[in-house]
Formats: sequence, structure tokens, C-alpha cells
Amino acid sequence: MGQRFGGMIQMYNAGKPFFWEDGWYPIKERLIEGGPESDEDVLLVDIGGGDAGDLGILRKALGPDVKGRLILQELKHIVDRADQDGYEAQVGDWYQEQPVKGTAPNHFITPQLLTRLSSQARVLTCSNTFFTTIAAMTSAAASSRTSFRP
Amino acid sequence: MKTGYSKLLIKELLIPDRNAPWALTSLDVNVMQSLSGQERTESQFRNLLESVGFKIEGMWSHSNAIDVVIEASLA
Repeated sequence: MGQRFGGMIQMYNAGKPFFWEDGWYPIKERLIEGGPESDEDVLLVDIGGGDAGDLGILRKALGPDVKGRLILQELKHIVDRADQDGYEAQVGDWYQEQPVKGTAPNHFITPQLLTRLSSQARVLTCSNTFFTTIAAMTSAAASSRTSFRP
Repeated sequence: MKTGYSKLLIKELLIPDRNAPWALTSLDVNVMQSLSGQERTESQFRNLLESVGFKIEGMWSHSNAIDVVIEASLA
């Protein structure tokens, strides 16, 4: 089912603009300015981005002057087949605490993830699963709050 | 996440609170039958994010896209 849904999402996005393109999300003003100053830092973590390969396309669109790592967090079988061209892929589990912290990434959640979370929520109780994920992020924030950047 | 620096971006379908178009509500039915899932309205996103300590900084849409980008930060 996950594979079928992933295929449906890719079909659904085919021919549509990417969110960083002109006229949509102003990524330069909102994320890049004031963001990472070296390639040691993380610019963006894509949680549950699937096979779409958006980060590789984003890396090309950003060009060589924009610093910061792009990280895809996904299930192991997707990480294993990711080309990792212009980005890194790591196995992620949204029931666990977000491993990327300290360098203050921008988190990016895609439809696959939210729908998965929603599906849990309807079966369990409303928004509990999402709460767990967000709580993990915020607890990481709490531990690094003493050193935030402008 | 760091307060004042990190951002949470959510690229998702957003169902208007009122007068939702059928093309969007049909996708709500789609994820219900395929994954027992559901799409969220703007109020549901706002309540969910605020309930866990986030503040919505803005929402951006595109005339050729169905999704919106919601940017949230730690309140």
C-alpha cells in the first residue's frame, strides 16, 4: 500500500511546481538568509520524502553558493535505493527523537508523512502520533535553547 | 529545533474551513479509503500546531499547485 500511495503522490505532483520555485514559498528570504554558513550545518531535513528525489533537484536549484546539508529521512528500503546525489539519506523513525539537532535544521514534512500520521491518528486518537513527533522535536529544542542564533 | 532559527515546513493539502471545493474533499475520501487517513482543514492545522507549542508564521500557495506550504516556528 505504501508503494501504491507513493506512486499516487508522485503522479499527483507531476508537472506541478516545486515549492521553492518563484511564486510559491520564498525560500531565499525565509530559509536561506540567516541560515547555515558552512556545509557542516544542516539546511533542511526532509522527513518522509519518499522516492521523489526532490532534494537532489533542490540542491541543483540552490546552486553552489548556498551552504548547508540536505538530509532525507526515510524507511530503510528507501534509503538503500536513494541516489544521494546532492543530498544525504538516513534511516529515520518518527516515533523516535529527531536525531538531527544542535545545528538547527529546518524540518520539512511531506504529504506522505502527514497522511501516515493522520492514518494513525484516526485509528488511535486524534493527533496523538503527530504530537509525539513534534514533542520529540521540541524536547530537542529545549536542550539546545541556550545557544540559539539570530 | 532552535527557537528563533529552526522552522517547520509542512507541504500539504489544506482544506478551507468553509466552501471547500469537491476536488479537495474527494482527496480526503481518497486517503480515508486507502490509508484510513484524513486531510486537515486550516483550523485543524492551526489547533494541532498551537497545541504542541508551534506558531504558524505563514502559508504560501501557488496557482498551479494543490498543496500549500505552512511555515511554523516554536512559539
